[in-house]
Amino acid sequence: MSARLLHPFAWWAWAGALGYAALRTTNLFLLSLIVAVTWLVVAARRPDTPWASGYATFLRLGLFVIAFRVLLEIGFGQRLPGTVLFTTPQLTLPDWAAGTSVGGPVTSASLLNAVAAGLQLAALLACVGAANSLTSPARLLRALPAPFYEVGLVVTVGLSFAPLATVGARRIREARRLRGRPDRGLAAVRGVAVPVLEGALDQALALAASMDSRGYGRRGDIGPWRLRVAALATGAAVVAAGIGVYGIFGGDHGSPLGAVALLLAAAAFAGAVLLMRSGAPRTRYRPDAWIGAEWLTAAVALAVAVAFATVARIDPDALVPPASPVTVPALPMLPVLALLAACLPAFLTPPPPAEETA
Amino acid sequence: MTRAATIAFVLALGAVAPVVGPARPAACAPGNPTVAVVVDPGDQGPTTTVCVPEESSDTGASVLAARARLLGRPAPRYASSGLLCAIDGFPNEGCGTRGGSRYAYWAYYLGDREGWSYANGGPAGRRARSDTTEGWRWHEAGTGNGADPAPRAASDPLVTCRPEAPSTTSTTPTSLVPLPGPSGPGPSGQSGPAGPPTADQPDQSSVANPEPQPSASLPVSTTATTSPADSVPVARTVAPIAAMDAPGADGGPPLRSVVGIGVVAVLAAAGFVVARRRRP
Repeated sequence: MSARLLHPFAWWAWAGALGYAALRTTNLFLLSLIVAVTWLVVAARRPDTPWASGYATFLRLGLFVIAFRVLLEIGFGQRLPGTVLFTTPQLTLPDWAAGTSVGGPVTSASLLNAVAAGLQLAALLACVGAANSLTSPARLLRALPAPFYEVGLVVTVGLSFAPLATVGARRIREARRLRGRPDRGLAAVRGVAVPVLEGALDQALALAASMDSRGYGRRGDIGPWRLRVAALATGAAVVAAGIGVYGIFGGDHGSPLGAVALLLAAAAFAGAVLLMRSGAPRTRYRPDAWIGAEWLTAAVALAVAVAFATVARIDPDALVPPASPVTVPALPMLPVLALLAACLPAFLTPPPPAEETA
Repeated sequence: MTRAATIAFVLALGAVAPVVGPARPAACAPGNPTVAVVVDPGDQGPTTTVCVPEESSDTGASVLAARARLLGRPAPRYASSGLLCAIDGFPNEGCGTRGGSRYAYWAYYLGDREGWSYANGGPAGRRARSDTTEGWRWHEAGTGNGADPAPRAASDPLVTCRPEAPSTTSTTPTSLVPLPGPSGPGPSGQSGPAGPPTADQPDQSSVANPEPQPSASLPVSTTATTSPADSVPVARTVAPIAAMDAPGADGGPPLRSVVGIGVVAVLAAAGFVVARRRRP
């Protein structure tokens, strides 16, 4: 296979499916497996570019989230029954504060529960980090449909902020080290943080300006009414998509509201795309292909999503094990196989080019 | 008439039982208080009332867990939100499952001399006291608020668990209270699944008999087990679940841990190798 970058949509679909899986489970095995899968694929297929090094930062953020969640649980958590590991000083709360706690016995069940909840968020961060480091933000923007062009521009500038900040932080720390100033610990935070944030913001604005000057976001020959209707349809699609995502991930999994709202969103969005079709002509220079490797990546993404949705329906306890009493989490066959299949893009997709030219 | 009589009889047994039951050698000296726990599984089986020894740090949740240990039944199951999902292994799965605007759930009540009141907090955050009965009732289609009917048992803890006699009376010859010997089983002395509780265990003879008997020490009364036919559903609903939860029943958990950790470790190692190889 000749070296090339995969279509950004393929990676985002893959990462999105893994993120959906992470949101659906608190099973420690499955969550660790999701993080391991993103780790393996990023290690194998991330291009050698500055924006591709963001994954490790997301992982570190995930570790911080887990630690923070455990501390919260010790301080103010649910006092889940189980084996008491240690007891923190307890504050007696009045009756109107029933259901909350400050301090008290910390059990193995509540600690494991906190780790699982933190790991869930960490796995989600790992998925976003993987998508960020596997795809080029500029290429993602080029692939976006016309109605999302302005939004996409904002998102691109936002998405490139974190990787640029990472690169900037490394450069500034090196500069401080060369000058014999502290580059680690609290002492370095003030000296590093301000130039990093400022530099990243400047670079993001420069990127936006250069995109603007090259004709990104240009409107073609579309009448004002068509533009307004399309904007309205896009807005409706975003709202419906929000309701749909809530319906699918929210507490009430059984209701058809989520699926209906998502269908409405898709219809409104398709209408907007049709109205704006001539609005944003793209270059045909070096098009991003959607061929075998992209189909494979999208297929394993679909497999992961279907496996988790199915098991959530037929065997919910396998995905969300009871918090107390503490048990060894189940290892459901379907999700594990789907997650192993999600490793395939690490080996079966074309390797990234040695030098990124996008 | 006969039903009322049997209930009265069983309740009387429940009242007698605790003085036999909480055979806790360490804490028995100045009279040890007990907490009454009533579990009414609705249509799923008979109501059980148990007197659990009270400790200073007991919460509603720990009292409920102590009750499960006393009866040799599966420990209560909780969701991560702290919501109680199952008592005695029922229901097998799901937690507060919603059907329309109704919920299938275990409702929590606090009982005293006046009657039952719907608890406004979870069992884990509530201190269990001997002057309050801990009540649980299964609602197949409950509203999830205080409109759901209360457990069908006495709410007064003094009816379920007779008050502790002063320490002096336990030594007087007129008392029927046996002195629990050191061999008496503690709350955790019941190891393994004990069979379905039957009301004839703490019978009059064992109370009159000053020697503590292990089988007589279960302070349990089951309001529907006076006839053998009625006790069958309990055995049916409890036994298979207890067998499933028995440790080492299927050698599953250890194998599962090894496989689960192994798969994650292999993937992480593969990631390391790939990353190392790509590094120039």
